[in-house]
Amino acid sequence: MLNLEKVSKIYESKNEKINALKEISLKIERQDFVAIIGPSGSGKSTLLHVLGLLDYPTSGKYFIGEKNVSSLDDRERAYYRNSMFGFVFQDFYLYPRLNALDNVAIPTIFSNKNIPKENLMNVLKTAKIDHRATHTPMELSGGEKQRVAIARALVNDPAVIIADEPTGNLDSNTSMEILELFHYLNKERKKTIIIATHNTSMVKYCNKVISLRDGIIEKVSPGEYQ
Amino acid sequence: MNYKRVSLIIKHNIMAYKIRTISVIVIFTGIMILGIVPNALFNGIENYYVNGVKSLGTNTILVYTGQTENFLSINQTYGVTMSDIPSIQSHVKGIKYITPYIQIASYLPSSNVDALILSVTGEYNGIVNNTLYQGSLWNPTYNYSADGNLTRIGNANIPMFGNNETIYSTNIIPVDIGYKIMQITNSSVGSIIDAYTFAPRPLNGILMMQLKVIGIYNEINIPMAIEDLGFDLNSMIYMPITSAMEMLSTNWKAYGIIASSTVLSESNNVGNGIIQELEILHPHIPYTLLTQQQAIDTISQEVEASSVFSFVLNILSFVIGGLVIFVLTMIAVMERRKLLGILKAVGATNLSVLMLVVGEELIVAVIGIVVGIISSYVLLYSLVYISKNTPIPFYPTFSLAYFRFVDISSMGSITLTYAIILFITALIGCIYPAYLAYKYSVVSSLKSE
Repeated sequence: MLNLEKVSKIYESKNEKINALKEISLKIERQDFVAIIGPSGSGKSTLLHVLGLLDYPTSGKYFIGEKNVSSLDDRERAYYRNSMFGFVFQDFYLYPRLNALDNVAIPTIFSNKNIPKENLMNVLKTAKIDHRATHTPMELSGGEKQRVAIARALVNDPAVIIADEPTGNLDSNTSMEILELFHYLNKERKKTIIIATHNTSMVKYCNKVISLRDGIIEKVSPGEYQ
Repeated sequence: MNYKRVSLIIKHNIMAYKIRTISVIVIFTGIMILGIVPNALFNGIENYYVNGVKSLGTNTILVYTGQTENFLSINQTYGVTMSDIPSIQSHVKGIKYITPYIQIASYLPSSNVDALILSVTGEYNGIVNNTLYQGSLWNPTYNYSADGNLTRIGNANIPMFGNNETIYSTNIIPVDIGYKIMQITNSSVGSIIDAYTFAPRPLNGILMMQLKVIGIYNEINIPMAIEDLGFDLNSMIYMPITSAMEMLSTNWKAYGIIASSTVLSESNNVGNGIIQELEILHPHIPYTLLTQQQAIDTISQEVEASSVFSFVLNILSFVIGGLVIFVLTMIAVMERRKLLGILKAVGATNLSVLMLVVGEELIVAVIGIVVGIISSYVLLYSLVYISKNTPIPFYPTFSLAYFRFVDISSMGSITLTYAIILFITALIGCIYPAYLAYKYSVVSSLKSE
């Protein structure tokens, strides 16, 4: 489904070049639950950014299905980000003055779908946060915010959820609830989940674990959940 | 884009950054006020003067003392006496009417009573024996009492008619009626040029009075004209031409002469004839001739010169408006960089983000413009109302009293022009910050603090 072929990403600053990803080749199949692990600076986030079309690879090819998306223009990439991917971030990135329902509606602004309010509520229900639909982020706990962020990622019914340290700001109990939610989305809603994490307990939900070090895939191993 | 839901983001940003929103609205309101109100004033003044001169007729000639081309700047340079007028009439051919020029520019009606004294004669309400009572051309002050008695307490600086210190009644007719009388009596010896305005305005027990040029009427025609217009002759005061001539010839000097030729093509000849006659009568005084069009041009130039300040102010305010939008949008874009990154992450194109930023700023700008227009009109209506209904004098310098000349109904095109210019200014001001938002990469935006 997602196929990277010798993808590199080099960040250039004034005096140095940083090889964040070095000729990475990787295949992610439909309904995979992939954990990307590795120490800080290993290239986890960069890999997620390239996979989610948030950033361009410096070299190599990236296929979604049969389509080479490495060098799409801004409009096409935005279309993929809107329709194919849902993003969840460590810091939630919710609009502080919009309530949960309105935050969830944001991606629909950029799609041509006219998703009715009931459907938005259903998405919140899927993320088990529908009871807080009218609350603003300031009135929500960290776990609740992340559920809203997950609902936002789901609203356009994307095939792939990309999450960058989604439990990084949560306590262990809440982290487990969020991981359970991802597990549910993977198994019941058939979503492909790609999570960059330091959280080793994640492994028990994954069918594939990619270990990164210094921009290189050190190892691809099967997860505990098969 | 789903434009229905775009309002979510725009509403969020407008409400989330209230100080910025209010700042833009307040500043744009101020800019609109600075644009509309002075323009309304200058246009109103210009129209008033120009229409006044136009109403004299196309054959009008203005001969005045001095050699400046700006007849509005004449200041108490008297070069004509009333006794000059019969002499000119007897020597210069082709004069339709002739009358002394006092000061069209300065002595303007100063209250809503906008009216003229025709004349005073006989015994009337206690005024005695053919004496033309009270009249001054500039801001004498009077005590005003409930029974209508007036006692002069200030000094007039221009020759007065008579010297009685008390007026028992004011008998006035509106200026427009005066002009109708003027038209009816146009064939008489003299004709009204600009009505004497007799405008009693009580203020804290003090009555301000301002008077204007008196017309000289044919003593037979005036009562007929008044009656033709449906006025009660017994409530009017008028003075026979002989009394007026006698009085004015001894007491009154004028700045110049306003005359009309019977034929337009002869206007210059008539004007030059008047000058020649005046030079004989007053050999040491220089005179200048002005046609009606030249007089109108002079008025326009004067008003335009005055409006330069307003123009510079407008340019400055537009620049400030553009800078305000630029700076505040810049701050907004930098502060919200992460949220803009989120928008791009969830599917916004760079162009969508640019349009969102521009749209948001323009919505705030339009609110400011609309509030500005409403405020300007409220302010204008208030100033016009105040100027017409309260005793604000026309001092030689700027006064609120001039707002009475504002014609609010004619302000549509100016308002629209300023609104469009300010809208374009706002657009220019926000385009670079919006372009920055366009250029931000998703990842750098998400990583920003």
